[in-house]
Amino acid sequence: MNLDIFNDLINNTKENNLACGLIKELNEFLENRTTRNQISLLDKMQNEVKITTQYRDKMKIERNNTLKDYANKTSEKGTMYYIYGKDTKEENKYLISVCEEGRSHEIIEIEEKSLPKEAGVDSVLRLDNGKFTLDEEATKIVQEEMQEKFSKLLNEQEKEVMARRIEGHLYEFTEKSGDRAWLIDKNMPKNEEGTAFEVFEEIDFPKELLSTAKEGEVYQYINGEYRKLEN
Amino acid sequence: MARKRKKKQSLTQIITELVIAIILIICGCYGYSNMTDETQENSVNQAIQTVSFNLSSIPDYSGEPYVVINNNIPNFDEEDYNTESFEEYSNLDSLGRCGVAYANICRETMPPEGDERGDISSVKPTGWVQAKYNGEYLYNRCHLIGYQLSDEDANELNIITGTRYFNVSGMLPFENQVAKYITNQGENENRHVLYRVTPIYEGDNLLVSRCTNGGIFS
Repeated sequence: MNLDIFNDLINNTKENNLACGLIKELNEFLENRTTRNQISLLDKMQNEVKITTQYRDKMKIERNNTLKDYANKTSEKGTMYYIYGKDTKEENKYLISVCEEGRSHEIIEIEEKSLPKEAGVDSVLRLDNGKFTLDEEATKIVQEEMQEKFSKLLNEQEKEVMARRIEGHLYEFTEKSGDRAWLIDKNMPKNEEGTAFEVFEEIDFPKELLSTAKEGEVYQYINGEYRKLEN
Repeated sequence: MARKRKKKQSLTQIITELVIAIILIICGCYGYSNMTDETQENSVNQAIQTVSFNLSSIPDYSGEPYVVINNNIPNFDEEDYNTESFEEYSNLDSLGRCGVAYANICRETMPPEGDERGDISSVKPTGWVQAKYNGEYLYNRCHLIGYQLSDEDANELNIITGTRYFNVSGMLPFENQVAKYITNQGENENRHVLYRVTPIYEGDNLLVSRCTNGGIFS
């Protein structure tokens, strides 16, 4: 594993402690993986770091684009396949996508025993004489590219999330989803009449407020924190 | 398919075809395959099932939430024309999108009377956004097979992002029709409905462009 890319990323993102810490942890995760991998890099990131729904989707798109681009560059090796996850209901089955334009909705469900023994989630496969084989080089390259793209997206997310928190603004609570709140910035309507609002995901809403928050309640962002506005 | 829940029934009714109107779709493709230890290349090529629709046969949007296609004739396997209830939900694809949901609906698949649907806010389907306009939310988490038919709450394999209009005016009328047909049956009847919902995506779009609904009543 070439660690230079991680060192470069860390040096370039020194101001962003979140991304730095995550990159180091991802590096350790990859280095220590010795058994068949059961969880994707993306899923591991989502378990470790709060990622908004929007950025979760962006990361999956970037992952697919990375795979398609690499598949195009290496088309002489034949169709490229990627193990993106495990079947949620059948433990011994893995889910494979086809890395070709127009085929992103296709799913191949394959039993573990039919996979090369070193292959797991995040592995790139090729067909060789009718059997799946692990393309180690491709797996390494696409994972490095994905890590880089995910880290950039994480930086982007952090800026966007922080930009939403505006001193003095009023926020209407609409919904709780897990450990995060969905809010409306009442000071930023999307139309002149002031009747249209975007609902955004706040991933760091205070737990003590979240546990009792109700739809329609209004909070104000003051001195770096949300406070419930009493009527 | 990701999940199959089966129950056997003892009675068989005469099958009459009564097809539910089908919602307009745009041409799209989906596929999945189930691999075995046999030659994988052949299995990949042969087993991937593709469903596609001819765009030119679909009329333009004319203000209705659905249109009938294929002369109102659904395409089900005759081997499923029975009273074995089941529910099948496709695995999510690599972009996290739902696939086909297919069920043999009957009293047993439906929630017990008086049961209310649980909280589904934990599910964030692909493309999930929200907006409020004139006090109303624009988007819904839409069940492919409605809760009232499947007793499924927060199943991420069964929920897509849709507009409120799509959910209430597009999907709900058909679900209500099926629910009414089943709940209004006589004591000695054993009504079943084969019900399949197919979300169609354009390319890598995370939002469903269209859905097809098809059903056959026993």
